[in-house]
Amino acid sequence: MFDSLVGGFLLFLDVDVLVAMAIAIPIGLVFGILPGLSGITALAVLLPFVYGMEPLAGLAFLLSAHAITYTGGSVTAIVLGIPGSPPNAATVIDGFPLSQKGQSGYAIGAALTSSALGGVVGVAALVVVLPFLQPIVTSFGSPETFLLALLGITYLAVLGRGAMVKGLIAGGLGIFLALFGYQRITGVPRFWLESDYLLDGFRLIPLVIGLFAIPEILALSTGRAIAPDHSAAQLSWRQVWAGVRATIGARWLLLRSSLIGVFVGIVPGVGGETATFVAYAAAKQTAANPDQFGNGAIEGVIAPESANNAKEGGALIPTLALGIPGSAGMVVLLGGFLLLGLDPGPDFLDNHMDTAVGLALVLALANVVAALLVFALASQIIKITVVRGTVLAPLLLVLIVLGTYSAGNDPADVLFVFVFGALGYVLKEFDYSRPALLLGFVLGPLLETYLHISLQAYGPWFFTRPIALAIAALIVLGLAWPLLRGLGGRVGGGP
Amino acid sequence: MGGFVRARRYFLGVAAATVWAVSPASGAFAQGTDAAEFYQGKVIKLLIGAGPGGGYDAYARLIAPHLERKTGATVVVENRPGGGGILALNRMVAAKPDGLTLMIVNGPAAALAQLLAKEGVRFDVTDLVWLGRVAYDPRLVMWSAKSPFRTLADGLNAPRRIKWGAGDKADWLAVSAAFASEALGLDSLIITGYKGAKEVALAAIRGEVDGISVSAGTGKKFARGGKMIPVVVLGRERSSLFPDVQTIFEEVSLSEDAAWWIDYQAQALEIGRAIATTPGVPESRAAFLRGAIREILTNPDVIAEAGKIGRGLDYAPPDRVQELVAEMLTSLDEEKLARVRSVVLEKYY
Repeated sequence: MFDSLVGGFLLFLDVDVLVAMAIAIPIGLVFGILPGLSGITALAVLLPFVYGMEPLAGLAFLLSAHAITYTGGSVTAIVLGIPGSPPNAATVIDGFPLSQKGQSGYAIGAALTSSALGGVVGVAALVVVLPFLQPIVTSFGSPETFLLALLGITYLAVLGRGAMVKGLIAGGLGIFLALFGYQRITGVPRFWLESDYLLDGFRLIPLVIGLFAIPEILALSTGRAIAPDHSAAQLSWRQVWAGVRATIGARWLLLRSSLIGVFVGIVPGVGGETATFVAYAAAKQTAANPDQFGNGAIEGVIAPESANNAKEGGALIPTLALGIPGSAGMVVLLGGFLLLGLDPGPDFLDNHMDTAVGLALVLALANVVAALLVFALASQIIKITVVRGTVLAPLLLVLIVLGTYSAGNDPADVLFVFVFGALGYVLKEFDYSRPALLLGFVLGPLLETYLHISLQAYGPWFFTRPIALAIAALIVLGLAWPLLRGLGGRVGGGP
Repeated sequence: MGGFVRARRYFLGVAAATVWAVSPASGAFAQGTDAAEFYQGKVIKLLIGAGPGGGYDAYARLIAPHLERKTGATVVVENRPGGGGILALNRMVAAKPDGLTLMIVNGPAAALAQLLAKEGVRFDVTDLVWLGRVAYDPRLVMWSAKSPFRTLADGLNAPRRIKWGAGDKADWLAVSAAFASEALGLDSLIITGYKGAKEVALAAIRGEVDGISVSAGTGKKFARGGKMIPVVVLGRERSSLFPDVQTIFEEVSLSEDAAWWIDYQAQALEIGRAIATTPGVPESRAAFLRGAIREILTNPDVIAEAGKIGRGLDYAPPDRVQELVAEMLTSLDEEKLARVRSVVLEKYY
């Protein structure tokens, strides 16, 4: 083990690896900042370039570009209220109100610090468990995936900004939208209306862009800027520093959110959006000031952003341990392994432990460097918030149309950006939670599919497996928490 | 780097052109000179019905640069995942029949979707202009090391239902498990919902399902490390990847009816991953493309290149593909079709 640690370190220090990272990180940030373009698109575009590189350099190139898109995406979420990539949607909830109050520096400081530290925690978790990767991966089965999705669903009410019923309605609408197209269990399409597009169901990118970007663009086109106060254009380093300090001060929140990210990352079927929303909702649920959430609570930025970057460390775990991708991005990364002459399978760590260690180091460094790079650019980026809305709105519209089109090469995706945009506008006007809709959309199919598998494979008592039982306990505890706290408050405040 | 790549491409292009000009094969191309001129400077779209990173993607990106050299066109690989390839194939069939839209088709899956009249199918695989087979993989049964089964006999004498993992009811993981169960008279339950062969393999590794019926290539990867045990090849010939694993015909003696299920599946799988273009493409262009595809896929250098990324090439001529497709779709009488439908869609769920 020690030999492979040293070996991995030496591999990592290779000039090729560092050069590959230096090229990949800015590319990844650009893909992250632009709405519609996401980490998977970055990987797909960059994949052909690794052919002929040294294995670790090629993988470092792909992994760095992919893992840090969420760092870039957080800036778009905070400054424009549009998630740069789907998992950044949770950051919009509190990050954007901060920008509107002229405190984007504060939010950016916290987001970047959480991204960097979350990424490092994710890697630390990966390195600690490297020797036991296989038993860990194999102890997460379909019952655990189902209960994790169920845990996420219980947070729908929490996302409803005080109005629980509205959160549930939005979440239910999300689940409904997820029903379109082929059902995973039978392969039979639902509600497809004889349309090829609907056969495969609604796509995530048009939904996210439509829900979040279109209402903001509409608001901008009335002419006002995001932060009407011109002093907001000057990045206040004092604000940024306050954001950094707030993050470091919230170290338990950071650690817990990062571990949620790792946990979700390990489970192959569950996407990154779940990690950020679960981290966000858990933060809100246990916060001393839950009413602040949605109006610019800094914890609402720290929690999703640390989970976001930490989950890539988690997603690497099944990828390296068994050759089974832990996330959609990892599928493409596995393609990269093959192009480079490596074929991760159940014996990969026996023969390539040094590569695994090297990759972990790459991931840690990429997270830190990316955050520093954005820090350096932040003072320029932030000027966007005072640009007149009538100038910014058409520019953004062009960007999201191009981004959405390039993500799937399908003009219908662009059409649906506007359809979901209308929906997003209505939801925003009537104060229904758009993040709750997104969470329902992402989790609905997981609930259906993995409940079916769990029941078939383990019978009705599937939830008595140890990890499943622990998650079930978390669900019960989470639902009972407001009640318990109410009791505690009354006891404490009583005569 | 771009300059280098361009220079290399140019050099290879010149080299390829030279070889082509002096090789006897160019005679066969003489009739296709119009077609050859047509492709100069055009853009060929090479569709695949899967996302980036998987097997189809790897084959497409392997073939694309060679196809560029052979045709003088720019080849763009387009990923159109969804519906097990049905969406991409619908699109290919609906494209203009100008020979500029090609697709690497999952032959057996497309033909089965048509046979079962799956919703959303807008193609007829017998109408496709086939250009040649890229690769094919026989299927084999593997047990999870965490299951109580070690040999085929263990499965035949199973004290309880055998759990198999699959994607959806008509994907080949399920079809193959159902056909094997029907042939061997196994008491099986096929659990669907997993996302592709990799997630099914993971379910088997952790003991959630007892068995999987996978392509030999996928099986080879997950057999490493001893978490999965290869049991039997579902065909009459052993797999080159598992020379020690016996075929089902070597392991047990099958009745005529039982053998039919194995043979029907093996023949369907032989269609393999095959390249096709839109129905109605002018014959001269189809002939030109067929020649190019044949030369690419039988070129030892290309085969070696594929080997380096862990992929095998098994070229078969287009008429053979056409024959296999027709055989799969037309050899069934009403009664047999009803049985296939019941075995694939109902019996083991």
